[in-house]
Parts: sequence; C-alpha cells; structure tokens
Amino acid sequence: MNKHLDKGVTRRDFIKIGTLGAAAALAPTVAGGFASASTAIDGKRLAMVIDLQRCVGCGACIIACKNENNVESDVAWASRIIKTRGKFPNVRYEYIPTLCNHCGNAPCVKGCPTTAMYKGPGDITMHDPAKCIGCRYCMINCPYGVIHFNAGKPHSFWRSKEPLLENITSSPAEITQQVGGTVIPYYNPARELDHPGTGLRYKGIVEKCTLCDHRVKDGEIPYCVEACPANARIFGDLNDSNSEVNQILGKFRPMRLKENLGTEPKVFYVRSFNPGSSTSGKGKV
Amino acid sequence: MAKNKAPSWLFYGWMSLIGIGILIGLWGAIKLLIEGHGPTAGTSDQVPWGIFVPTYVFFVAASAGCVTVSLGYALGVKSFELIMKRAVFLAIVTLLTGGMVIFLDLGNPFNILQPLLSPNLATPLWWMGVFYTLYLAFLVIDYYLLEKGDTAKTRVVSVLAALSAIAVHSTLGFVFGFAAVRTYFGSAFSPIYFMVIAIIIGTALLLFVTILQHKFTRTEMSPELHSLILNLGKFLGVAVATGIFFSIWKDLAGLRSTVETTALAYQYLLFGAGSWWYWGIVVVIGLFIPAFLLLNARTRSINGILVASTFALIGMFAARVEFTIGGQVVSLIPELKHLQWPFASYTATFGEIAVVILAFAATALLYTLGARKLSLEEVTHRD
Repeated sequence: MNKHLDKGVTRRDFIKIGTLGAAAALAPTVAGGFASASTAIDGKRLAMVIDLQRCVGCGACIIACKNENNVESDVAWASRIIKTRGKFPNVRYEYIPTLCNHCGNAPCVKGCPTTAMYKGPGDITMHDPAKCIGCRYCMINCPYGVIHFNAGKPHSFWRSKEPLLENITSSPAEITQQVGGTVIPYYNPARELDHPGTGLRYKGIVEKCTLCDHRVKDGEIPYCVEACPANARIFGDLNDSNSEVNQILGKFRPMRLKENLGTEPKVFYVRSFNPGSSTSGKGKV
Repeated sequence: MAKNKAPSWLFYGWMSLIGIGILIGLWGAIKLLIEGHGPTAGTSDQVPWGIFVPTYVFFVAASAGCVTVSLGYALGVKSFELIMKRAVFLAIVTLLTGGMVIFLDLGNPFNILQPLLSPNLATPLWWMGVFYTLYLAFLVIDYYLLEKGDTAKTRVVSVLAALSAIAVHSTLGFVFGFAAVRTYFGSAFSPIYFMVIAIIIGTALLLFVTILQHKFTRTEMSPELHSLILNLGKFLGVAVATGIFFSIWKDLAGLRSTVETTALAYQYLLFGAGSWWYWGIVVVIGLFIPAFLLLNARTRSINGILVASTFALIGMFAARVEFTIGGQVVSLIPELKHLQWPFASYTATFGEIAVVILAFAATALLYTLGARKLSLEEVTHRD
C-alpha cells in the first residue's frame, strides 16, 4: 500500500520537514494534523450553504480545491453549472458552484459492494481507497456526477519529458527529478500522515470531494470555503441550531440539487446569482 | 454420436480462428491490466461502464438462460436428457468467461476478494457476487452428478442450479434498477426484463451450439433430439415474441416519460444518430427475423432455427450494449461545465473490443475442447 511513499518521502521525513519548517506551505497542515483528535466532528452533521447572491462566479473555490487536494488538471472535485437564459435584453445568467453533496441518504454508499464509500465522522461521505475495487458502481448511483475514476496512472503529467515551452521551461520530469525523482500521488500529505495508506490515489480506484475532512477534523473549515473571497460559502453543523448555516437556512428558502430523489443533499443553495428586477405592469394577452 | 470428429481441415480452421481471437484478446487484456482503463478503454467519468459490463451481462444471461430452460429435465421431461449435459457445460463455460471479463474490468486480481473482507449487505452488487459463486458451485455439482448418472440427486441439484441462476441474473438486473437516478434502467422492471432476455439468449445459445456441432462433425441428429430441437425452436420463438412485447412497452413508456432524462435517452437511442444500432441490429436482426423464422412452421427447420438463434444472439448482445449505455447517455447535470451535456459519448476502443473477442474465443475454445473430450450427449443411467 505504501509503496510510493516508501520509495519517496517517508512519514519520518515529513515530520522532519514539518518541524524544520522547510516546506513553509505544508507546515501548518502537518502540525495541525498532530494537534487534534479525529473525533472532533463526531456526532455533527456538517453541511454547506452557498449564497448565490454573494457568489461572484470567480471559480476560486474550484482552484482552491485543486490546490488543497492535488486534483489533476482534467478532474474537478468542485465544479460549476453555468446557465444563460432568455433573449437580450431580458437575459439571466446563473452560476451554481457544485461539489459532492455529502448526501444524508447517499446512493453511492448504499451501492458500494465493499463499504469503500461510507458515512464518516461529521456525516461526511468518505471514500477509503484501500477498500475500493474500481467497480465504478458509485458513479452509476451518484445523481450528481461528482465521482472521478482514476483510469490511468495518477499524476502521469509529472513523468512527461516534454517541456511546456522548448528551451524555456523545464519538463515536468525534470522538475520531478529536482525534488527527489518520485511522483507521490497524494490527495493531501496531511491525510497520509494522519492515516497512512489512505492518502494516496491509485490507478483503478475512484475519488471525490472529502469536504476537506483532514482540515475539518482539526477545526479548520474546508479549503474552498476558506478561499471564497465573497464569503458565499458558509460551513457548519446542521445539528447545532445556533450554527451559521442553520441561521441562513432559517432566513431563506434553500434549494438543493435533485431534491426529488430523496438523497438529502447537504449542500444548500440560497438566493439567486442574478436576482434581477422588472418594471411594474400587468402584462398582456 | 458426437464422437464423430469434424473433418480435420474444418477443425484446424476453427481452432486457428479461435487462436487468433485469443491472441488479439490477450493483447487487449494485458494492455488493460498494465495501462488501466485510461489509455485502453473509451470509458469516462460520465460513461463509467463501457462494453465490458454488457458483455458480462450477456454471458451470465446465456448461462442463466441455458439452465433455466433445461429445468424441463428436473420436471421429468425425458427428452431434455439429450441436451442436459451440454446445457450445464455451456452454462459453466459462459459463466466463467463472463466472470473473466469483469475480472479484467476491475483491473486487479485481488479486488475480487475485497467484497468478502468488507461486505456491504445492502447493495445488490454484493449479493450478485454471492449468487454467482453459489450458482457456479451448483453447476459443477450438477455436471458431476449428470456424469455419475445419479438421476434423483441430479434433479434436485438441477432445480437448485436453476433457482440460483434466476437469483444471479435477476439480481444483476436489479444492480441496474437500483440506480434510482438512472431512470432508463427501469427500477423494478429491470430484473424481470433481464430474465426474459436471459431465456432468449440461453435458449438461442443452446440451439446454436447443438445444431452447429452436428453440422461441424457431420453427424445425424437422433429423431428424439431432432424433435426436441424443433420444440425448443418453437419455445425460442415464443421467448423472442415476449421480448418484442417487453421492448414495445419499454420504449413506449420511455418515450412518453415525463422524467426528462428517460425520455431524452429513448429519443436519442431510438431516433438519434446511432438509432441504426437499435432498429437495425436489436429490433430487425435480434427480434423480428428470429420471431418470423421461428413462429412460422415452414421456416422452423433445423437450418431456420440455426439462422434464427444466430441472429437472436447477435441482436441480444447489441441490446445489452444499448441498455447499459442507455442509462448513461444523458448527462446527469446539464450545463455542468467540465463535463459533456446534454449527451455523454462513448465509443468502444479496439482494446476493449479485443477483450470482448477474448471472451467469445475463450468460450468457443473451452466448449470445443469439452465437446471433444467429454461426452456431452450421453446421459449416464446408473439405474
């Protein structure tokens, strides 16, 4: 299981790196990984509210997710629906950020033959790469198309010998060489440190949004929420009546994707990306 | 009877054809195992199940159908003795080759054991695996008892084998129906539909193989076998007609559905760019021609049955592909920017087709060897 890890950077190396502060970007996550117990979110029902009126459609959530979870360029754990309706000048533009809905009644969990998809602490829909057999039945069952299958060797880009610009940039393989020569297909290094064997993506298994459980367990909010410049993403516990998510859900009428299927999505949308306005009148026949 | 060998040129020709198929197939299988689906298969995040799944369904259907039809033996229809061993042997072979395809699809030999280590009893996929194993065990015992000639025990085990055949294939149907969001799969309709298709495929395969083997080995059929074949031909005609009935209602209900994804899928498959696949191969070749040939007394000859069963097998394989893709062809979320919409495309690659060829070639190889080494027509009577 830890073949990649053993060949490249070992767990001990990581602790060293973390303590020495050599990798400044990694250090806070690594240190946080040791600080808190993993039961901090037990009994919670974590949810996200996306305030579409605050959303500016910048896509920072999507980029932040890729950074945090080392998601490959052609894969999106977080994405967006873009709709344009009507005819000029009466048009409406809609932008709906999407991610795994961490359904209360998750069809991917119900269908998984090996319990690789499971409801983890905080009611997060989690995936255990060690149990996944690559049958892709979760992808058949998921109504939202948010599960990705690692069809080939992950992060093969870093083995490419072709530079982006000839004689100007180095090739991905050269960069890999500079940092030790091994491509380690991490989801997130912190996850591998906390739970060895679950932090690496392999060929032939699926993956999806984890609601940044590695951060959430340490008392941090998911990275897409953190990165949103407009505070359009609000994160919290549905079981806590005073939580910010519950306050917003009480004020506005929320919408969820494909509610009719009974999957009980825990990503709620409130208000509208484009509230619009209209002139007063009664219309005509 | 079947001891008569085929002329050597025909036999060697047939074996070379199988050999070529196996070689092509092994190339595809090795490529798949080393490189993974990405470089080898045409599947994507939107069409995660490609041609391997319908191939598996086809072979399990063939197996389950063979055994369900030969229930006649357990019920005391004497003439079924003549095809019983062949049916059980064919069922074992097709079940194994179908399993091989899924085995390759999973990509890692150890993956097949994981469901035992961390089972999820709530999913039909897990139970399908359990029934598959149980069914295989009953088939092997059934064949052993047939060989031994223990009629009383064979009847009991034949019934158990048939029941587990129905269990495995209807559960496989529900693996599809379970996916609430893929309304195309038809929910509770799918297990029933799968059984009808299994009866067609199983009967057609049994007839196809029996007739072809007699033609190959230039042996005359006994009058009893001849009349059994004609009767089974009639039965296949009725089964195909039932298939037509199911297809009509499935299509009408689908086209008239107010669930947009269902209606869109049917519109696309029945009237879209690839509709020749459905009308040409599934409907005309797979259903109409066999129904015409088999329900018409004049064309229901041995040759007519051979043609009809060949066509039914081709058409039903195409139908399995159509069914599996149909549930995935309409994109789940329209206008989700990193995915295709309104339709997701899938084209089987040569690597994938090679694995399908491997399954058919392996079936042909195992059956041919079995037919030469085992006496598939002689039912032993101990008493």
